[in-house]
Amino acid sequence: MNALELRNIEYTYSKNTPFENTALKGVTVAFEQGRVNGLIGHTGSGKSTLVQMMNGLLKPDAGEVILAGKNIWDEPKKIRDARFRCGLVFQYPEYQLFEETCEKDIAFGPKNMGLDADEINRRVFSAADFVGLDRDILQKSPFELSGGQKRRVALAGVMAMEPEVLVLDEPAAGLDPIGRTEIFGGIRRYQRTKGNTVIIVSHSMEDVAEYCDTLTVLKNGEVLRSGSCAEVFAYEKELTESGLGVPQITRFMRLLRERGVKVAEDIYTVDAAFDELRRILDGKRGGADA
Amino acid sequence: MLKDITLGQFFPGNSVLHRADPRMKIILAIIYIVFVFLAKNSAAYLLAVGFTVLLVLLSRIKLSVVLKGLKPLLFIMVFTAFFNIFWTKGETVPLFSYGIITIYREGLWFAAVMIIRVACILAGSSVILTYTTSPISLTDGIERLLKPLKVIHVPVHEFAMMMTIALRFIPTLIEETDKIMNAQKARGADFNSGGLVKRAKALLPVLIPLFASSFRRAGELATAMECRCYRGDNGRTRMTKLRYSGIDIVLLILFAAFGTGIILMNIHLGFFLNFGMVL
Repeated sequence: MNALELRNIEYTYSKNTPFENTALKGVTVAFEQGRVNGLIGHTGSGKSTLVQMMNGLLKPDAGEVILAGKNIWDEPKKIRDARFRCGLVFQYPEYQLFEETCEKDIAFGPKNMGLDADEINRRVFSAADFVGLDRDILQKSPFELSGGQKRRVALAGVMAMEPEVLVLDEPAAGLDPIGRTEIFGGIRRYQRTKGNTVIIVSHSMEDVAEYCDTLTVLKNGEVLRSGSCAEVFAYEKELTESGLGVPQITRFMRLLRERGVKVAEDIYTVDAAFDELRRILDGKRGGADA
Repeated sequence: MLKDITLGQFFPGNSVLHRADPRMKIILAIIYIVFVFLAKNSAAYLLAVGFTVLLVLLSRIKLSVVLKGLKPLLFIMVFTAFFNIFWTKGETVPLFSYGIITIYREGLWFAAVMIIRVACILAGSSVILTYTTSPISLTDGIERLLKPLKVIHVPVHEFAMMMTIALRFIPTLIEETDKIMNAQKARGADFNSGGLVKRAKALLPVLIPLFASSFRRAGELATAMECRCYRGDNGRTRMTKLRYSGIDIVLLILFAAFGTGIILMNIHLGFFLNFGMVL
């Protein structure tokens, strides 16, 4: 079952002006229910445009956006429903915070949904728990917080709407390693607890390799590759040519293999590489002892 | 989207008007506007329209782009023309009369003149200045032209710097507004329904982050300028020295000819056909 499906999406910015720019040329992609899907592409590949199609912020020139089996543009008046059901976290979302306290800011989405006060409260606290925000931070002004904390408040603001599909555009951009782990940890907790679908847009191969089940590669407004991490990363040359490449550790393992070390091919994270090298080293030592 | 608004937009190019000195272009724009206003009869207006078309051709900017720039004022033009047509009382026999509606020749004349005047001035001055001059060289020109005012302690350089910075940040702020609006829409904000109060309130989630980021940007810019030792006008040299060239002299002669033409047309009414007479 697909939580979200885009069919033959086409979109052109500033149509009929000297600044005309075709961003999407017939993109078809499906995101399976309950999985973490990665969407990768070089700058200008159409990622951010595609993301705004998903919740109806942009209306495609041609094609359909199917959310849980229904075209969201069938009833344009109810497009706000699509925004609640497909929660979108923009790049650098900390710049959207505006309320006096973090708690109120997180409650902005649920309030717009017209929920009652108890339900709003429950959602605010559960969203804060997902991203690991303490109760005392909730009472602070978002303008007093650090960058990473602000980012987590903004993320919680979308999670609090409890969308069936959570879309994140470069959620870890500009954060330090600790901030990255915290953000991705929060996203993972949300996905595992709710069983909802997550779509992560990124150009960091390391991040998508670590957190995503499936990958879709965009290039110049078209889908270049789509499939599991292993399926996509098998095309290292093609990915490198489109300015993306494979995770550094995967490349490292390939270079090792070329020099005669018999490591497995499907290594995409540092942890997996560690285990693999450990296995080979242990095997060698064991062999020498015998 | 907000991005599509052309607000005094500059179209890069290499035409005669692009290469002219910004100081000269400011002077020429003033000359042009003054003479369009001085035009009195149909022949003079015809000359003004012809000259405006010549300017558009000189700038090598597509006519469709220039006409699109007039669009925002179309409503006001049509509206005023409408009132001119129906409310102007003429001295001669009405051209058309039905019930309370009476149309006089003068009404049509005034409406036509009004539309021609506004369209010419708007199209002409954008082609001379905003479409062909980058904001930076425009403020540079203004600064140079106003330099004599320094004698009476007008902070010309500071004003020019403020204008440069303001112009520079207009597109940035528009983009930022667009982004924040989208982010709040993604959380269900609704900017397009409800009464005036509700709509004004709905803008708060956009305005607050926008103000916050403007202050942040201003602070960052100030620091960056200080890091590069900006200390105001004193002792500051220029990367590009403005210099009048042959193009500027030719343009000045062209505009002078235009002005003379208008005055000649105004005086020798009888030589030319008058729209008013024909109608």
